[in-house]
Amino acid sequence: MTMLPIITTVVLEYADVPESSITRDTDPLRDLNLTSYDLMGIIGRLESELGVSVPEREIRHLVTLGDLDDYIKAHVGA
Amino acid sequence: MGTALLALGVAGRHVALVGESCYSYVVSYLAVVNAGAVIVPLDRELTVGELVHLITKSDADLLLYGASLADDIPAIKDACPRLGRIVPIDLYAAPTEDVENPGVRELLRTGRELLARGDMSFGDVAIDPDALCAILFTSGTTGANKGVMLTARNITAVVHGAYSLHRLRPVSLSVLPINHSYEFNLHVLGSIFGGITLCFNDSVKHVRENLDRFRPEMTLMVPMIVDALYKNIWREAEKNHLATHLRYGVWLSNAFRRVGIDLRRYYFKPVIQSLGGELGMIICGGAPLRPEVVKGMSDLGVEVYNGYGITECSPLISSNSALANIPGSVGVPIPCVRVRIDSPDADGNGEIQVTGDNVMVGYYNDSEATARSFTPDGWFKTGDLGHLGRRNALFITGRQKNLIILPNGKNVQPEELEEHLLASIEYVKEVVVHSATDDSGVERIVATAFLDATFVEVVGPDEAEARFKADVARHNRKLAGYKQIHHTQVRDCEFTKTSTKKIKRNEALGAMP
Repeated sequence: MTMLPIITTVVLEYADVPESSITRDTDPLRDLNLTSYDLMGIIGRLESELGVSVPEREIRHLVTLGDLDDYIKAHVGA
Repeated sequence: MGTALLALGVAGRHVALVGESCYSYVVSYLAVVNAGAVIVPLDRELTVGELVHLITKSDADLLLYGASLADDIPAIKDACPRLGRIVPIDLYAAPTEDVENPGVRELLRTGRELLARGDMSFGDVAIDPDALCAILFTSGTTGANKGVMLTARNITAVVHGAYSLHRLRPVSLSVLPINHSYEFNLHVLGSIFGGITLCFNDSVKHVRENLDRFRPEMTLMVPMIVDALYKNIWREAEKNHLATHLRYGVWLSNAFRRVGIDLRRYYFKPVIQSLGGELGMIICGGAPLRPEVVKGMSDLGVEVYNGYGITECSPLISSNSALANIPGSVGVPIPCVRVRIDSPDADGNGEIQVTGDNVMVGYYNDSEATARSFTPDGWFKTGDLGHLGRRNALFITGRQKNLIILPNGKNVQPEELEEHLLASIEYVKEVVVHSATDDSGVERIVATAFLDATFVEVVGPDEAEARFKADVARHNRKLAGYKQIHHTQVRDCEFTKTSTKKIKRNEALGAMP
């Protein structure tokens, strides 16, 4: 099951953009002009809400929100 | 641990240390340097290839690593045959059966046994304050990066100098990467020097939670984090329809302050509560900080003192403090440092040059770069431009070198990224990597390229630009997060060159695409 709606809700707390502009292909740093600190905060929030851990060394591989969604889906409950 | 490391023959050797911020990292660092060995702290965000390059370049004989690196250790071990021993420093890891590579708990047990048998070798090590103590790498992973050689005298000079200016608060929170000289020398060693409690933030993902958990009264940060905290305060106020109320509170509080009544901690208690409840001082460095953030945080009751440093100066050169917080400046030189401005222009701006006990010995195995970095009379050339203003405060106005300094304090060598792009994307004929400021005032990495004319003709200009963007995105995945290119742009003509056929880089610097 996709986690994109939950990811989008958290991202919208950091980015001042319409919800419709957020898709799987959205790159939060380049398309939404968020900082890497914002991104870490978003992932921290998702970890608490979804009970998943995203190691910092993995984050560089997660370029788009789709990448983040795939990672969370694969590791939630693991 | 020091006794056990000495028994492993660590004295005089180079020991690489990479891991997360934690108590055992600090113990490991201090055990190494006090055993008469040389510590080589490495950035845990680096890729395996980058770590291997720096371990090799530093001639490290031993590697101490934290839990987050465990999966990468087999690859590092294979690529670094010189590493005699590889020791996990995670205090909570399962005991290891590997006798050749004991874990930190086995080392501690060995150390205790040796001490019980009367081995006093660790306490007897004589520390030469002018001997090599640490090698810290500047940015870049190709030939561009350099190993800064620091001595115990260099490091203790900045600790003492910094805290001659700043009065430490009883509890502080360590947020920044612990391998940075700014965090380790100033914050970790500074806390030990000042006898305060230092709490470790386990991940940048959890800053907010850890402010609540530890309720620090001070911390060291980089502009990106201070900026985010400040923006978040106002975002929350807007969300809760309290922004007008907060603006009025700031106006009223400032009016009271002008007549000597300071009610900020009372008026803005909810704001300060959102920062843990006790935070009153942030020392900020690593990159330029917007003066309006310094003033805005101060208006709300949190003083931000901006400073300036460079790894080669261990790193601190100057800092604002409660004694003098001069807007727009990076403060006054710390007591052990002398600063001069070389060849100032009509406005007084010239290269900032430094001398003092904090200045490095030189670059490891790079006498040419060392020679280039010092003036004939022995002053260190920072490559930054600025002037000394009122009350001897230093103002930074620019940079002579191409180095990109990001708001998170990380430095990026553009040439390193350019080499990678030219080597990995065949239709890129020329590329310049530089920084530009985006709409929100944040400094970002940009790649501006001139593409192969035939390629552009075949696929069309729009498709060529889209492919370049996609290929850069693919390339980004191989890089440490902070080095990733944020924006791309394509130009339709070659860059202008100098007579020696070097690209005139300034021509590429423009607005954010």
